[in-house]
Amino acid sequence: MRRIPAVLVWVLALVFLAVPCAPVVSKPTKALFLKAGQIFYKTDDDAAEVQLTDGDTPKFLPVWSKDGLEIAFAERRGDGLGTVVIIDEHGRRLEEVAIADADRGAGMRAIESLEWLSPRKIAITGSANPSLTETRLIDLDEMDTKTSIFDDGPGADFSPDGKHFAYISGSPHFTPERLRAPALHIDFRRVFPEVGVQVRFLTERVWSPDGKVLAVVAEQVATGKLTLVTWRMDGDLERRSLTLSAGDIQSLFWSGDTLLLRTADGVMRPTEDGRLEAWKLGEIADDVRHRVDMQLLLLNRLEGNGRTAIDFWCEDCAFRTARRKVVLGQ
Amino acid sequence: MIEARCSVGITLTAIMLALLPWPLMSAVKPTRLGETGETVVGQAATASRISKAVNRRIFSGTFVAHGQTSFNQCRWAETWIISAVRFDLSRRVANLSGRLVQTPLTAPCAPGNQPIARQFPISVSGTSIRVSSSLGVYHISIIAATSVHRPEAARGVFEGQEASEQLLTGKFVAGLSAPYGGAASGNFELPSLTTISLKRETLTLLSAKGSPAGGRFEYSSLPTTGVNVTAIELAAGIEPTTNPNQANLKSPENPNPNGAPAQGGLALITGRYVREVEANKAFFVATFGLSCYNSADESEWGTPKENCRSVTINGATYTGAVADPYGLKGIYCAAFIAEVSLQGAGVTRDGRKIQYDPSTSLISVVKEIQGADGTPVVVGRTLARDRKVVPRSVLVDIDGVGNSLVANDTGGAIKGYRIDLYKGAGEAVCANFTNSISIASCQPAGDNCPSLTIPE
Repeated sequence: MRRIPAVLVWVLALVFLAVPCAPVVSKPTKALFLKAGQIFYKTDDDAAEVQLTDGDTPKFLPVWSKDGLEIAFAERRGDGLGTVVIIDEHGRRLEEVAIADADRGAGMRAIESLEWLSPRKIAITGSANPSLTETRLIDLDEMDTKTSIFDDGPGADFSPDGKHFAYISGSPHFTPERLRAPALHIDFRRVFPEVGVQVRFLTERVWSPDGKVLAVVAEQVATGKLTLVTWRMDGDLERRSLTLSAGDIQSLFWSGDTLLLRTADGVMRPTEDGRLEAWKLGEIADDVRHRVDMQLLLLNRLEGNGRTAIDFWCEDCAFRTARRKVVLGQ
Repeated sequence: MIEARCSVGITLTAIMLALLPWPLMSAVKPTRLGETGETVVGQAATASRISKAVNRRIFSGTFVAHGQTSFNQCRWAETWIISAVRFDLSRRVANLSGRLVQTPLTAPCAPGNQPIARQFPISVSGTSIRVSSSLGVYHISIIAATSVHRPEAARGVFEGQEASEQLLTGKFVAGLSAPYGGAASGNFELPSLTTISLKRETLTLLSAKGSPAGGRFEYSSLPTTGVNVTAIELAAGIEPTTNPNQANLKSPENPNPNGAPAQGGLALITGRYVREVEANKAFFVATFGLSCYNSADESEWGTPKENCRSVTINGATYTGAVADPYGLKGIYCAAFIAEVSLQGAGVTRDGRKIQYDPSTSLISVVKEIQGADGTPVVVGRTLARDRKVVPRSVLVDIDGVGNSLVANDTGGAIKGYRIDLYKGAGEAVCANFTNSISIASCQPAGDNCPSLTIPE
C-alpha cells in the first residue's frame, strides 16, 4: 500500500480544522446568593456578579427552578409569613404568592425553606414546634396554597417529579418517646405499619431517582427486628427482614436504581431474600471529580464577603445544594 | 458538510498525534488541580509539646492543620485542595517524622467518614518541612512531628494556595495562631515571661490581664462551626494598651429578615498580649439561634358546640364539636382535639393539662405535660435542643433569656446550634418572642457547648 507522506496528512488536517466545528453549547454553572438582603447571581467563569433584585425589602431563600430559568425567593411584606416571588434570570418579576399565617394552632412559624417541585409547583417548609414541621404546596397555576402536610420530622419528602410525598405522623412532640407510634404516610394515606404496631424509623425516607419507589428502614419496638420497607407507585408494599441491629444502620440511599445500606461494616445491598451483599461503590470518575472541584471552587469563591444562602444550578450537576441536603453526584 | 469536514480534520489530527513520540504526548497531558501550586495550610492548627529535656531543651510537637465547613444543615468535611504544605522554621530541623492523614468524602453527610492514614512523604530541607501530596477534594489533616533544638525555633512562616487560588500566608510562633486561622494554636511552651490571663466575667464580658507591662491586647474570633458566631471587640473606653483589659463578646444579627430561626455556631476566641513575644489564650464560645414554641390552648379554638373553629390537618378537616374524644370526658371543639393529637398535648379551658398517647389513641389528664425526653416541660425554662450539642442533664445560660435553663426537650426540627424555648400554652405566649441569635454557655461544659469557665 502506498504511504501518504506525514506532511500531507498534517496539511489536510489543518485545512479541515480551519472549518469551524459546530459549537458545543454548555450551560455554565450558576450560583445564586444573597448579599445585603438582595439576590445576585454569578456563573462559574470570571463574569461579574449580577444583581437581580433591589428595593428596601430584604429577600431570603433564593432557589433556582429545576430548569435554571426561574428563581423563587421569599420576602417579608405585609401580614402573614411573607410573599413568595418568582423572577426570571434577568430579575423580571413573573409571579407573586402571599403566604398567610397558619389558620390557627400548629402551623409553621416562619418560612424556613423553599423548594421547587415542578415547573409550576413550589413547597415551603417551616417548623411548628421542635418535632413538627409543616410543608405547604404552592400551585402557581391556581395561585393556591391550600395543601398542607404535617410531618413529625424535618418536613415531607417529595418524589423527584414532585407528584408524591411521604411523611410521618403518630409521634407528636409532647409525647414521650416510649409512647410514640410513628406511621409512614404517602399522599395522605397510611402505608406502614399496621395500626397497633409500634415501630421506630431508623433512616430517612428515600425516593428512587425515577420516583417510583420509596424506601425506609424501620425497627419493630417489641422485637427489635429490622425491616426494609419499600413502597411502589402501584401501591405494593414490600417488607424485607434485615439481619442487622439498629446500631448497625447508618443510612439508606440509592445509587442509580440500586438501593444500598451504609452500615458499620460498609456498604451493603439488601437482596430479595433479605441477605446483605457487600457492595463496592464505584470510584468517582475524573470528570465528575473535576466538576465537583469546579463547583466547590465557585462555592469557596462566593462564601464570605457578606454572601449567604448560596444555591447552585447546573445542567449536569455533580455537586448541588438542595433543601436540607448536599449531594455529591457519582 | 461542515461537521463532516470537521470530523475528518479531527481524525487526521488524532492519527498524527498518535504517531508522535511519547514524551511529546506527555507534554500535552492536562494538569489536574492539586498537582501544581505551592503550599497550603488549612484553617486551623494545633500544636502540643511532647517532651522537653532539662539541658538540651529538646522540643517536639505536633502540628495539625485541618478545616471544615458546613453547607445548609449538613456539616461536611472541608474542601481544601492541597498540593503541598511547608513549615518554615527559624532554625534547622533536627529530626522529623510525620504523616498526612487524608479523609475521603466517601459520601456527603454520612457518618463513618473515617480517616485513612494514607502516608505521604515528608521531606526536611534546612529550615523547611514539606509535605507533598496530590489530592482531590478531601478533608485534610496534616500531622508533622518535629524536633528542634530550641523551643523558640518553632516559629516560622507558612504559605500556600488554596482551591480558590487565594494565597494563604501567615506565621506560627510556637503555638500562636496565624492570620488565616492559625498554624499552631496549641500549648508549645515558650521560655518567655510574657503571659496573658483571661476570665469571662459574664456571658458577654471578657477581662484580660497581661504581664509584664507595656504590651498590647488583641482579640479575634474564628468560626469553627457555622457562620453566625460570636464577635469580639474592645469594651467601651478600653484601649488596646489598657491593662487589665476588657472586651465584649457580641451576638450576631439573625440574617433571616423574616425572623425565621437561624443556626448559631461555635467560635474560637483568642486573646493575645503582644509584647516582645506574644502570649495568647483561646477558648470557645457558642451561639444559638432561638425560637419559641407552645402547646395548644383550648380557649383559642372557640366554644363548643356552635362557635368552634375548623382546621385542616393532613388532608382531613376538623370542624364542629365532639363528645368524649379519645376517652377524654366532655365536649370539645374537634379542631382543638385534632391539634392536641397533632402536637401531643394541650391545656383545656379550665386549666387541665391533657396529653395524647398515640400508642393507645387515648387522651388523658396529666399532672404535667411531658416533652420528648420524657420529663415535664417547664414554662419559660425548658429548652428543646440537639442532644449532640447539648446533652442530657445540662443547664444552659442564654444571654437575654435566662440562666440555668433546663435542656430537657428535643425534636427533629432542632438540629445543631438551635434552641427552642417552651413558653406555655397558646399562641400568645410566643407573640413577642424575637428569634435572635444569642451567646450561651453550658453547665457542665460539653465538647460542643462550652461553659463560662475558660480552661487553663
